[in-house]
Amino acid sequence: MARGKEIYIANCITCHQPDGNGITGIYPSLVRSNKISMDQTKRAVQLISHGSSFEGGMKPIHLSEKEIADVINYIQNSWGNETPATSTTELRAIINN
Amino acid sequence: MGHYSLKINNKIYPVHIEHDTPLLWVLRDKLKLYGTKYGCGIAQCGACTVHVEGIPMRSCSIPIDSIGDKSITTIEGLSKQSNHPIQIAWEEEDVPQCGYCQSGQIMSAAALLERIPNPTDKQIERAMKGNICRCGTYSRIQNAIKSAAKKINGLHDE
Repeated sequence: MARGKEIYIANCITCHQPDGNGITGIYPSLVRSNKISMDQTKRAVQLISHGSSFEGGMKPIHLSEKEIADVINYIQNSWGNETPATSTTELRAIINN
Repeated sequence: MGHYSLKINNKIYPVHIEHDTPLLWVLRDKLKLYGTKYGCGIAQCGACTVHVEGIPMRSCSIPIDSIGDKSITTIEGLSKQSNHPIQIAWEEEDVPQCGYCQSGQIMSAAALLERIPNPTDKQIERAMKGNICRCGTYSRIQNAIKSAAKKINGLHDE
């Protein structure tokens, strides 16, 4: 979690904010009231690795697989979010599928 | 348009500006605080880094309307006489080459030492990853942060 938090501060916090709520109408919230699904995890990996396809949307973030796993685990277990940890091996499978 | 009272470097600045104006534009164009630099405009390079409530953030991508009463520190307010341990280490290690990225680098480094007073190499790399230096002065940046950490923690080089 500590590693993930540091990655979040360096790469994500400006847009998604310290409380994960983003900025209404501009940057999406990362806080979910329901359990986070595998599809949402896949979407997060996709966004971090390749960015959004929308004009002016999120740009890819240059992170290693381990760093992606760390930051996703931090996001998915902060601000009330609860999800079992994603391992680098699981993440590699998501990236390569 | 909106009226805002911005708390910057422990001073209050009244500003009348469009709600979605990025903080960087307010700092530079309205308040003439030119120390914070425009690099990419999309929060990808770190040149515009300032502290918002002590957290390093890219001012190019923060709309002024979202600031509220949060306290902002720019490079001009980091220390009274440019003598923050990071700034001293920056000079001692002769870090900058072209110098364009350095105010952003210094702000990220200072915030790192607030969070982690004695960071490892990995922790420095992780924290500074969002700050790009086109001159490639990364090893000097790393040395300066380690040197500043030693000073802050009262340690000395052998």
